[in-house]
Amino acid sequence: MALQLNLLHEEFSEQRQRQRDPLKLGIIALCTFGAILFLYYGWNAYQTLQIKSELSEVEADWAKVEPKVTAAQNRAEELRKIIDSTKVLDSMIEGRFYWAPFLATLSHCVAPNLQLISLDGNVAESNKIATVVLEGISAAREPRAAAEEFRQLLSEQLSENSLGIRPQSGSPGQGVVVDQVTPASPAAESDVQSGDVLQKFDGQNIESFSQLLELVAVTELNRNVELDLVRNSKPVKTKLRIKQRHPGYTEVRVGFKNLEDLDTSVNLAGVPTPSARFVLNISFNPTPGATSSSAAAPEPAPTK
Amino acid sequence: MKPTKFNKDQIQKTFLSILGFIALIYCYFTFFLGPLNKSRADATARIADLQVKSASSKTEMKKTANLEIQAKEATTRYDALKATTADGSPIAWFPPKMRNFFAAQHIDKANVRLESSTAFKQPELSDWIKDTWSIELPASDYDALGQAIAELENTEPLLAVQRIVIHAVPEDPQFQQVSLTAQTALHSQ
Repeated sequence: MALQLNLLHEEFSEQRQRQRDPLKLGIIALCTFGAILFLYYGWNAYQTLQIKSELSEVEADWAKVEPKVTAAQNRAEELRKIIDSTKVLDSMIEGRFYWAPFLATLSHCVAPNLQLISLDGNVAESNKIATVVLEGISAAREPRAAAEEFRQLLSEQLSENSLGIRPQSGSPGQGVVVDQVTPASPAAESDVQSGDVLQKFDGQNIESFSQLLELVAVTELNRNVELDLVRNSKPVKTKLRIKQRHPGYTEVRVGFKNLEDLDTSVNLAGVPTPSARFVLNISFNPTPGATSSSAAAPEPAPTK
Repeated sequence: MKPTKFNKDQIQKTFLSILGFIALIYCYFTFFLGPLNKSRADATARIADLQVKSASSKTEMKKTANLEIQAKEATTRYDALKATTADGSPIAWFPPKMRNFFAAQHIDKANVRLESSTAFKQPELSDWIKDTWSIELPASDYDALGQAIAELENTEPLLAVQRIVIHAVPEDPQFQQVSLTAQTALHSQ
């Protein structure tokens, strides 16, 4: 009996031993842990599905907007390029030197006792300085003085503040009698006519042509100025505006490069007249700041 | 209490269980939860990115609409400037155009030739080319020349006369020999 009890004890012991078999326990623990992990995975998968669904909605919305946005971006880029290109092209157009006004002024200044032989004008691409070399012959009792008169007139007519009139010689003490009006000049635009007597400029009495030039020279550009004149013995009031003649070019210099008497005399109205050959240098310097450099402008040559 | 003693078999099984556990954890994080989390993170990032894009797109479209209004003048002007360039190669259409132009100004026998063709230095003008032309007018009246140049400067905004040489014709002082060097900006097609 005692032996039997002992055997039973061993059997219980073996059974207990089997129950705490680490492999079994491990498998149970693993299964439990696996189940927890699976649940966690399921929860994560659910959340991911929700986010994916949200993403697909956002993507669908974006798919509708994206072509419009891309088109808008391309258009904006194109517009920016157009604006920039137009700015550069406009600056090129504004920076051009206009030859027509110069040729017209030149034509207006040439007196019958003067003949131009050649003209060579050039605009430097680097600094935009325009230079003109003018060669001609003057014929008069004092041909050098005639050439100098031409230089002075040209200098006045090409300067920034120019009225655009040629006065009649021997004007009376009060006012200036207009002999000629330069086309497209401020005077021409204000309907100043040949024969008019200019009496007041901006409220100030005009005593002489040189005084008028001084008044014009100090007048602010693009300002309306009142001009009182007498036309056919009737007082007339007009307004004129002194405008920049060569946009972008504020400094104009006219000087002799060469002035020499010629041995040959010119037949002027059947009278042999002494002549002189002259070479004039004209330079149009751009407005300061428009270019970095400026060329040395020629100075007037001394006259006899 | 007496500490439990594991036999050799039990130790082996425990070791195997630990290995299995490590393998399970590794597989779970590497092949299941890892990709899932990555996918979710990617989706979240993409949503955030699209939301930012969507929000900025409204501003972008508003800006473009404003720019369109602001650039209306520039666009019209640009189109007008572009329209000064005819179709085809400039060498084919520019010389006849100039000949016809001067003929209409009573200056005949204009001879036009291309001197050079280069690209502009300015990056804004990458679509434009700079051509230099030589225009010879063997016999021109001064007044007609002045009017022709005024007309040319007024009607051809992208043409700049760089050089002008006028010589009196000794045999016929009424006429001048004129040589012009003109630079044009032409749109390259």
